[in-house]
Amino acid sequence: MLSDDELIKKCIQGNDRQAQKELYNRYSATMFAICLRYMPTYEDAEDALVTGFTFIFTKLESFQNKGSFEGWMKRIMVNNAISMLRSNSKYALTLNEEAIPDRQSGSNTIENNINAKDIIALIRQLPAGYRSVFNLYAIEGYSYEEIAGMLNINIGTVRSQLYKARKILQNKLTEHDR
Amino acid sequence: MIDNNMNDELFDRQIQKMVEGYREAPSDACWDQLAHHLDNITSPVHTSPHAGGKMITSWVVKAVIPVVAVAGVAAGIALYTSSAEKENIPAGNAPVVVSATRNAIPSAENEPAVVPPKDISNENSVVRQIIQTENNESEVVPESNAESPLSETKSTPEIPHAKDVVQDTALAVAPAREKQTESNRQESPSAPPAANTPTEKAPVAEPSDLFIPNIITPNGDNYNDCFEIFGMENTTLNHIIIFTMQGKVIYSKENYNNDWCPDNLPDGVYYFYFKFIYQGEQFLRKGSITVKR
Repeated sequence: MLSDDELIKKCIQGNDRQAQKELYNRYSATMFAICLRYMPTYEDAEDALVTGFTFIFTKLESFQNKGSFEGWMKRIMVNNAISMLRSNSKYALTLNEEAIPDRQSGSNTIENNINAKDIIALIRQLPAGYRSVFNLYAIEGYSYEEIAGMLNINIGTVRSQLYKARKILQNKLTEHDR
Repeated sequence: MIDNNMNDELFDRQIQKMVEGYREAPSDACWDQLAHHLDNITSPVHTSPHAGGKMITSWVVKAVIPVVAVAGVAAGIALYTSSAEKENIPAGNAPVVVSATRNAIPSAENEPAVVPPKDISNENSVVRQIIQTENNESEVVPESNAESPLSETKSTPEIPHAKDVVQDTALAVAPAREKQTESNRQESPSAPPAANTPTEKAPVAEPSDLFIPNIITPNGDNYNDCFEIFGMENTTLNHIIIFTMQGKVIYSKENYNNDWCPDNLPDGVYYFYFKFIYQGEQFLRKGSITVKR
């Protein structure tokens, strides 16, 4: 069982398809979960995964063992997903201002009877703008400023979209609990 | 308020905790597509994994010069690795289009000094300039050329030549041809060349076989996916500029090949300027084009 570093070396030196496959097998499930969170359809998530990995493999040499390999890949995946969202008008990160019902039973704790898959499904149902902001802030842990830069929107918009995303999620979770 | 903020943070953390470790294996087909992609990286031809995989198509393949796109993302990735800080994502698709356009602007050999579209940053001003020129003229057809009736009246051997310099690049090669037609016309019975009257200019053949659609539907169904100007084969030396409602140039191409398929642009109305030479005459067509999927 080779370590990641050895596999990376093999990939860079020989463009070794076997080593690439091994790396892919190790990380594809984690990366696919990220793609799923950003992309509304399964097919687009697969597209994002493939393009993301294509860039990872072509740019492996620029990963100079600084920090974690997985973190590096995750960042590429996230940025790749976002630029795909941005480039496709179908998922334009529009600021659709939809009315959100006031928290009628503002439960912001999560019950135990919901699993990660359900949560991801709920996140994916969010409108593209809300979804990206929520993913970036709550899960990837970027700051408002960074998100504003990434999505090319202003910080106030980031805040309001995040707020609305949270409200929608909380409402949906409340419904889910019932 | 503070309580609310704390609760929200708590909510985020809970979600994060649950989602973070989540893994879902993609279908096996993904590796095949990836391997296929990696194979293609050595060869210049890229193919889309999904037949209808519009996103990849728009992202990599349809970029007029894929290398530009790749280089852009590569630069972006280099940024992430070189600095521990997370940087802005590599600019999305629009800049790619711009850089592609930049490359599409040919470096015309006999480029006049007045309208140099070489630099994309000047492109807006170019359009503005064209628009201005347009506004000064009542007619749609002739554009600041030696053929316009006004200039014809005071036409001396020297003046048309001076005007040629002012002409747009795309048609800068035209003067010779135009002069030829001019002289043909000047062979009208017993009239000395200098005494040409504007009335003779009236029966200019309208390019009636040219059809410019006003809507395209780039949804991948192979019908009206591209901005296809019918009858283009009868024109020579055309130049097309397409811009948004805000006047931002998104496409500029000489010798347009009916290949503007805007699969990365939002639906909406765009405007075009289409200059061409038809039977030795210079024409300008402008109008709107609706993109609807």
